[in-house]
Amino acid sequence: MTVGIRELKRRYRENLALGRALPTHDLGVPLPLSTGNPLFDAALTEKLAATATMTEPEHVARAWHMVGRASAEERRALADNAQAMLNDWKLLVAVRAWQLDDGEMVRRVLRALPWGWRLAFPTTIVKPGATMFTGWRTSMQFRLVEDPRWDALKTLFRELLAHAPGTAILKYRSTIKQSMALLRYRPEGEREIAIHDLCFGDGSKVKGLEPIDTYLKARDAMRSGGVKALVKVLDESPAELPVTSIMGLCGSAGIKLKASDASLDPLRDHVIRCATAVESLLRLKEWDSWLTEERVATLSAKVTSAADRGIDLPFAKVVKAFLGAPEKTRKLVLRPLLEPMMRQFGSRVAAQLPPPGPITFVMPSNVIHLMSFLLYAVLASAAPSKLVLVRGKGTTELDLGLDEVIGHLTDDREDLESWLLARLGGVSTVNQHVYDMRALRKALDSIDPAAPTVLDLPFVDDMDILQSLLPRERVFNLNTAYGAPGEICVSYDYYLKFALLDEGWSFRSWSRYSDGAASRFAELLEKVASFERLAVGAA
Amino acid sequence: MKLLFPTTTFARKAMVQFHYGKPGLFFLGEQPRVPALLAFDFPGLRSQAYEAITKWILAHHQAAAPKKAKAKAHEEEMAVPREMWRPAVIEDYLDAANATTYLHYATTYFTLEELVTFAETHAPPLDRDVRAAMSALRETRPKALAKVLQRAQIVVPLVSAAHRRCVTDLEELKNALDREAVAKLKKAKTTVTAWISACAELRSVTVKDELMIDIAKRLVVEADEKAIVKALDQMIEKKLNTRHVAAFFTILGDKLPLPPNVTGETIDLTHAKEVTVGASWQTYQAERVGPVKIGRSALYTLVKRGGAHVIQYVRGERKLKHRIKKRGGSIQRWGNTLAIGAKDPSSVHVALLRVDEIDSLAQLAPARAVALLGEIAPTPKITEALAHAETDPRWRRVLSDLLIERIVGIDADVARRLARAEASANRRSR
Repeated sequence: MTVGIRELKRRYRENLALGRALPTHDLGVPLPLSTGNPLFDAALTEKLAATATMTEPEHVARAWHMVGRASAEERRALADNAQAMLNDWKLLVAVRAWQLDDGEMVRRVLRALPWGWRLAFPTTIVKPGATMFTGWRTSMQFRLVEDPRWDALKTLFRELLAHAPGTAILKYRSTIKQSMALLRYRPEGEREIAIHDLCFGDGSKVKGLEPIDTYLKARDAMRSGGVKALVKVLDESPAELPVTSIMGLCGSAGIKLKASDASLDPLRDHVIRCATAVESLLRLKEWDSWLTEERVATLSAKVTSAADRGIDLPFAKVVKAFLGAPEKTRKLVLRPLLEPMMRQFGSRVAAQLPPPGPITFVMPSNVIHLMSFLLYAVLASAAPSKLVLVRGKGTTELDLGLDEVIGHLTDDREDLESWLLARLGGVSTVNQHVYDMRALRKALDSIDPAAPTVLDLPFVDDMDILQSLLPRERVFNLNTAYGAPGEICVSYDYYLKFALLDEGWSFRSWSRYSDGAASRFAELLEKVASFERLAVGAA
Repeated sequence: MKLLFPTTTFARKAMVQFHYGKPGLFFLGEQPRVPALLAFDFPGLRSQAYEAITKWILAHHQAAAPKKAKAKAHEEEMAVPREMWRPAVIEDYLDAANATTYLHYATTYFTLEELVTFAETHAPPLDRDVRAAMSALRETRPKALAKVLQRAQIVVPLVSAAHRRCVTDLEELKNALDREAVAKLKKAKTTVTAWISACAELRSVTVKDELMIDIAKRLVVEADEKAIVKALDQMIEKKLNTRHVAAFFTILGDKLPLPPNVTGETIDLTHAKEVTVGASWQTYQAERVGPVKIGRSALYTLVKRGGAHVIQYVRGERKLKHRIKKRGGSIQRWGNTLAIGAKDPSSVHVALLRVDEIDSLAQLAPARAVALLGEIAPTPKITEALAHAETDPRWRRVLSDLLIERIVGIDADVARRLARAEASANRRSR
């Protein structure tokens, strides 16, 4: 049995009216959906951060109360879906399991958390404020669990340390230090003594624990011999340092990789080798001045293989990093890096939209939003898709391949206009936002109502389109929703283009674009899938 | 019918839009300039509507080459033949059917000389005609005035356009002269000090801003911290700090020196707000306590000194205010005494720190929140709320409201909003 968007929305409205669900403005993930169970909903959408009307402590109190009252079945359902839960909630569920002395569940849920959070678990038990808050609240004295069960907590921490990879220990050494201090932890064995020394001492007892050993050697080499000595250590080391560590060492020594200094080239090669897929993408702009074709090839091989290894690279991050990079770098990485990433993303997202198809995209013919266009092209490369462009009179169905769209991502405005003129004709020069909604309705009526529809029609408000959306089961609107039961608004952003203000008068011109929506589409689909999974049990 | 239309560019080609929002048309053969105002002659055209114009053009194509026109029947694929247009002259405004639509843009398409010549030629006859109409018999005067008014509504705006064009030309001339002066300055390979002195003397603000950006570029490459400080101080002396050129600070980046410049003072942080430090003249000229860095959080406050307001930045976040309050109202840091409520312990800003504390404790440790009452007696409502709060988190909000109102005296919702506004730079978002 599947519970569709229509039913998830109905359950949310019911829970909201009964005071069991928070309004969307108080949700970290503002989705008006409900599994039917307020605990499950909160675990998927309520972040422990300040919202419009609630403070961080209020969210923590609410969340802890709900977790505290959860039945064994509910806790088990959450643990079974641990990956879908927000990290804050995974931590709270683990704390509750700790309170109930359910070691197996603690370990299951902790495994779903990133290493930084796992290693902070003892701190969360002893001093929750330090992991749940920022600013002065980190020093707030309170506990969620009265009895920390010190010995058991030390045993669990020992287990975590034993399983933690060297990179995590290096990266989260201050987290480990805090946990060790609160636990009054006595290290046992060579490895733990080395970790303890890394956290509290000078690291001289670290021997053979990689990549920490390399990091300490690199740090000493940088102090004594500068970049040359650092590169020598990196060349000789069997381990790869995390790129953040290398950048940290360079930062402390006042070395900038973008400096026009050829002697930095060997270090740059190491940086390219050591960066993770996500880090590489985020630093495209920063590295622009020294990225060469060979380095891009190394980078691309790493980024594209990340997905093969099960590492999930979000569309938003990939595309934002690409668009944020200078033109030269964009042209350099377009084919070797972006294109394979987009294809992988397309297959993953298409899998979240099972048949019947086709996935229908609806856009105006004269407001070409490149992100939405790209989203269409990416999905079209992996599943049957249809692009319906609405015109002033009639609609046009267009078939654009990913190859074609991707080729224009580095275009300047004039090149883009030339392409659109060649593809769409004179309609691309129209700047009047009047559309033939009757024709769109006709086009939509010919498509299976169970097929997914993605709408990106900025500033279009029409009863005709609402009527044609009424029977549809899966409508994803990249702008504000029209109000059909099976429709959900993904996300949209407003931009202030122009403003004139006086004491008693103001004029503002706004633009609304679906920038965020296209990039968050995959995230939304995953969230909806989690809601549907948990809703079956809740019902 | 004569019509005027401006040219625009699309896909690197000149284009004309006969109606706003409708598809644009491109040109066959010789391409017009962009931007330019074109005069179109449509013999026999009766309406200015987009459909009427395109229909007319289609008929023109069909008459010229019937078969070819059929193939290009679609309106979007139509193009304007060369014989239909010519660059407009200013006199075209007098008889074009849509002249009033483009009167405002006359300064874009016509030179000051053309506008002045037009005024010399057409203003005196208009003046004569207006006087003549005014002296007509009372019965015939409305008709006479209406007739002259039609011409006046074209001629008068074009005469006034000369004034606007004069302003534009003046600015362009200032820019050109100043750019020549700057080019000479750069060729002479003078010092940064000479550049700054010359910058202050420039007439054009545009060129002044451009030279300031060049100064920043030179400073980044050539100067050490001491030389940058000297240059910035010279710029302030020359009043160049009245020009807020964002690019100037973007180029300076982390080379903008912001050393601590206050010691041995008592800094009252009661009214200080947490902000993210931006690169600006204001930050450079402010009093700075501790290592204030661009893009990091700092406490910002204004102090009145000798009738003028002085800006102070103190390195730290709102938690620093909490720490000062916890330590009895003052601490020693970075060679200064940082204080909260030194002048006015009953200030609302001091009370807002308590709001944070009460609100957080009420949610997480209700009994300890009630203990904050100290010697103030709890009301029965507070006692009731505490009893409920242990089992129902909704009552913790009630308890928090009651305690805030009892201890601080400010309406709880307002107090929470005010407290949040004081720490905008440091919010957790995961």
